[in-house]
Amino acid sequence: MAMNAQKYFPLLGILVLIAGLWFAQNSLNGFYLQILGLLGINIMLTVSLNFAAGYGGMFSLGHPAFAALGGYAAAVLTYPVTLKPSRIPGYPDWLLHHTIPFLPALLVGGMVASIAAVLVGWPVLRLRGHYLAVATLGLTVIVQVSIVNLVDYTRGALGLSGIPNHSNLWWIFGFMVLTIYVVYRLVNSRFGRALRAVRDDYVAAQMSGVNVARTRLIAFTISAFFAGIAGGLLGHLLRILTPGQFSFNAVFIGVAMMILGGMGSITGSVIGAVVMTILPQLIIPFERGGTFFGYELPALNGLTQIVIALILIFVMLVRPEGIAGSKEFSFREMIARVRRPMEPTSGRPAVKWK
Amino acid sequence: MHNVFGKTALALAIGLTAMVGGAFAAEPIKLGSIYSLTGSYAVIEDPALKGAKLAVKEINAAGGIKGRTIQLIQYDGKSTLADIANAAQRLVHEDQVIAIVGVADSGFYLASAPIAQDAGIPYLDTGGTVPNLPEQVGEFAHMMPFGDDYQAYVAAEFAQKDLGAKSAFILRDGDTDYTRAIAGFFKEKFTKLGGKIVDESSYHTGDTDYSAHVTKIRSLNPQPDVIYAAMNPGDDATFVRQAREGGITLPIIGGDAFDNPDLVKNAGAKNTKDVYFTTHMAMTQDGGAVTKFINGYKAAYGVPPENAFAGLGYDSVYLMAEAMKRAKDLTSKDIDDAIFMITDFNGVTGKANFSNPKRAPDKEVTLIAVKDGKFELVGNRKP
Repeated sequence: MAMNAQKYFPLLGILVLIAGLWFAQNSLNGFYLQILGLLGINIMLTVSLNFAAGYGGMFSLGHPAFAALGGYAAAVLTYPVTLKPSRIPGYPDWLLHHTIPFLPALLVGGMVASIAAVLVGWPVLRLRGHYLAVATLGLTVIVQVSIVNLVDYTRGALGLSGIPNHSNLWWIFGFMVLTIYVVYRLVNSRFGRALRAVRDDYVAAQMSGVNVARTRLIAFTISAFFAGIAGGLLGHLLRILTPGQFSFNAVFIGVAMMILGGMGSITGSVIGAVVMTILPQLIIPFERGGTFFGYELPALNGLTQIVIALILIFVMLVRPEGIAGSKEFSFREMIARVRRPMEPTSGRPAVKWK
Repeated sequence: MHNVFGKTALALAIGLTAMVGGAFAAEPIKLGSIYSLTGSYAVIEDPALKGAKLAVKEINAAGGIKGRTIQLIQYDGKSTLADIANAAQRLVHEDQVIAIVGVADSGFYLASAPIAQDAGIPYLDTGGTVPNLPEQVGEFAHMMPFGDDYQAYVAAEFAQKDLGAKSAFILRDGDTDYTRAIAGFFKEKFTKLGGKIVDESSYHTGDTDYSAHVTKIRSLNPQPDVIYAAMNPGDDATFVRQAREGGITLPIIGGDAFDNPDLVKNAGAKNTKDVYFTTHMAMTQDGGAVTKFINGYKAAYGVPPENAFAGLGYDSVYLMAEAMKRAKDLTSKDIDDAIFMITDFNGVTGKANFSNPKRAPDKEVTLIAVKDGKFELVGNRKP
C-alpha cells in the first residue's frame, strides 16, 4: 500500500478506540469500567510526568500535588449547592451557591495546577537532579498538609466525598488521547528538540540559543496542567478526594509507572501505566486464597505489592531503560515487521528509533 | 442382597443420593468484607478481619443461617482509596455479594459506600465513627460503632457526674476531623449540663512538646476541674507524661484513640493515674460474651485481641447474621430492612439498638479508667 496511507493509521487507531469504548460502556459492569477509568487516568498522569521528567530531564516528585490541586479545584466547582455551604463553607458566597459544568471545571482545575507550576517552577527549576526531586517532594508535602488543614475549603483529612459522578470512559479517554497528542506533537517539534537539548546538555543548549529557563518552565507547566485535569477526572470517578491519595505512595507509584515503561518514551509511559494498573487486578483474586485449579492456596496478603516490586527490580536489572526504553510505537515498524518477518541479521538495526 | 452386584448397586444408590443431596445442601451466603491488611491501616483492620472471621466460623459451626453457611469474601483495601473503591466494585459486580462489612476509617467508608448504595447492598461500617456517616451515603449504609458525638457526650456526663467537674479545659489536635469533632461535642454537652469551659488549646498531630499547654493549664486561675484531651494515638501518651511530670494532677479524659497499648508504655504507669477514656469495648473478662470472644480469638490466632477493632469486626458479622436471620428472604433489601428491627443487639462492644432511621446505632460507650498501668472498666453507658 502507499506509504502516505500510513498517516491515517492514528485516525484508524482512534476509531478502534471509540468502538472499544462504546462496546465497553455498554457491556462491562461497574467494576471493569472503574478499572478502565483508572487506567486512562494513570496513563494521563504518567505521560504528563514523563514529558517533564523523561523528555525534560526534570525529575519532579511533585506530580501528585498538581493532580491534587486540579482535582480539588474541579470538585469544588461542580460540588452540589445543597451540600457546599455545610461541608466546605470557607468559600465566598458566589462560589457556594453556584456549580459549573464538568468540562469548564476540569479546565479550571488544570489552570490552577498550571499556575501553581509556574509559581513553584520559577524558583525551583534552577535545581537539577536530586535537588529538584527533593524540592518538588516538598511541594507534594505542602499541598497535602494544606489540604488537611484548610478544612473549611477541603473538608480536611476526612476527604471531600459526594463529588458528582461526572467521569466516564469518554471523558477520561478523550483527555488521555488529548494528552498523548499534545505531548507527541510537542516532543516532535522545535520545542521538543530544545527540551531534549536542555535535558542532555543545558550549557550546550544555552550556547545554541535555547532559553533554558523558559523551555523548562513551559514543559513543567504543561505537565502540571494535564496532571490537574487527571486529578479532576479522578475525583469525579471515585466521587471522593482525600489528601491521603496524594502522598508519598502516589509519588512512588507515579515514578514507578514511568520508569517501568521507560522514561523519554510516550509508548513506555502507556505500557508502564497499563502494567501497574491491570496486573494487580489479575493478582488480587489470588491474594484472597482459596481453591485454584484444584489446589488450595492460603491467603497471600500483599502479593500484589510484592509482585510489582519484583517486576520493577527485574526490569531494572535486565532492562534498566524500561520496557520500551526510549523507543516509540510506530505503525511503519509494525508493517515492516509484518511484511518482512525474517529480517536477516545484517548488523544494521532492524528497528527504527524515533 | 447376598450378591456383590446388589450391594454395589445399593452403595451406588446411597452414594448418589448423598452427593445429590449434598449438592442441593444450599449454596453459601456470600458476605463481602473490605479490610486493609497492608498499609498504615492494617494495625486496626487486620484485627477487625480476624474478629470477623472468628464470628463467621462460630456462626457456621452453630449451623449457619437458615441452613446455609456464610462465606466471607474479603479483599485487601491496601489502605488506599482507589483499591478500596475497586474492592467494593468487585464485591458488588463480580462476586455479587448479598451484604458487605468493612473498613475502620470514615474516609474509606465514604469511598466505597456509594458503590454498594447504588446497587442496593447493605454495607456496615466497622470502625469509622463520624456520627452522620450513614446519612451521607444513603439508606443502605449502616454503622456498627457509636458516633463520636456519643463518646464525647458520655465523657462530658462522666466528668460532671462521676468526677464532679464543673469546669474543664479542652486540649485538641487541630489537624484531624476526629479530634475536632469529639472536642466540639464534649464542649456542647458539658456546657449544656451547666459546666464551663475555662479555656481551650490546639496543637498539631505529632507535636512532641506540650510544655506551652501545660504551662497554660497551670496558670489558669481558678484551675479547671478536668482536662478533656481530644488527641490521636501517640500524642496522648506524650501529653499525659508531660502534664503529670509538669505537676498537673487534674483528671484527664480522652477519646477512643487513648485505647492503645502504648498509652501506658510511653506515658509511664505512675503518670497514667486519674486518666480515663471512652472506647468501644473493655478487654476485661466478664464471664460472658467478652470472655467467649477473647478465648475464641486466642484459640484461633494464638494472641488475645489486639484492640477494640477486633471486637467491632466480630460484632459486625454477628449483626449482619442477626439481620439475615430476621430477614424474610435472603435478599439484600430484606436484610437491610431487618437491620432496623434489631433493637437489642448484645455484642462484645456493648448493647446497641439499630432502629434509628438515621442508621447510627443507639449504643453503649465503654468507660475505662487507667489504674496501676492497667485498663479497668468503669462502666458501659449511653448518653
